[in-house]
Amino acid sequence: MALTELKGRPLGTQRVVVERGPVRVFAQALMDDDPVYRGDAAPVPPTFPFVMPYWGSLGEGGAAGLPIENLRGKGRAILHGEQEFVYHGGRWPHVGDVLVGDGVISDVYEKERSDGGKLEFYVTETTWKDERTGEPVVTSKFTLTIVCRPGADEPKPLSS
Amino acid sequence: MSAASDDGVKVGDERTEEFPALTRTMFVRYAGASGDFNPMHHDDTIAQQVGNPSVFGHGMLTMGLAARVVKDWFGAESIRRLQVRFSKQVWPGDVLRCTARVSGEREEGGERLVDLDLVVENQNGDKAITGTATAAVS
Repeated sequence: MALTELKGRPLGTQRVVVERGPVRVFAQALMDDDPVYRGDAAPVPPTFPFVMPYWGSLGEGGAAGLPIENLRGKGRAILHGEQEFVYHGGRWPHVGDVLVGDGVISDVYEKERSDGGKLEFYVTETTWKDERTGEPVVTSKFTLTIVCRPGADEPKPLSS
Repeated sequence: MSAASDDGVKVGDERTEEFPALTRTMFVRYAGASGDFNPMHHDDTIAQQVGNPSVFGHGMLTMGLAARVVKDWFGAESIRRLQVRFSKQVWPGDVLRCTARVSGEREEGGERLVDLDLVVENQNGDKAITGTATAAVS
């Protein structure tokens, strides 16, 4: 059985600064030379929120992840299955923003597979807000999919 | 500026962008830009040890390219929602075609929105990702 008791578990708070250099480098990695990404107040590319914790962390707070060691096992293939971003109210993230993100394990569920195996889904959601105004800016929703072959190990129980 | 707002869009309209054949250098560049240094994306030796023919691209690189089609069409700050499912890996040499197709139009919160279906296919027509997006039309 998927570790449904994880549903609702908070993952902590992160604080990031959106910096100019990383935004340009990220756009270049997507082969996008649009000059819009070169300014002091440039908008971020649409998928940049996924990498904000890597570039922008101030070494304060920080988010826990899924308990990945509990999810590994024989016959269990762990994949980044789905990804979603919701950009709130047209308040697009820009260079210079200071954003605070609260993470939560928002959903855990499973589905049967026709081969007798199953799929487990672990969804984490981080909502980033403007630190100054509290306005929600962008929500990133990450779905870890575990493809379990028939007879695969079950996840290891949580210790706490 | 590529921020081409287009008030004439209608259901069924579509845009496609084709990207240059993927290279290991592109994967390394994305690794550096994203902080994702999973060796499956840059170290052939390790990728082959676990049964892959070679390194393969980051799913988030493919999603970033899919997002470009919507961004190039409707503008850098136009997207309101973007969702994908990763279905197939992408490999060095793959030529990716990203297509966005208008599936609906509506008004919400004082904005005119278009809903889009997204697909990224390789040169054989295999779908690497499928998804949906919503963009504001100015």
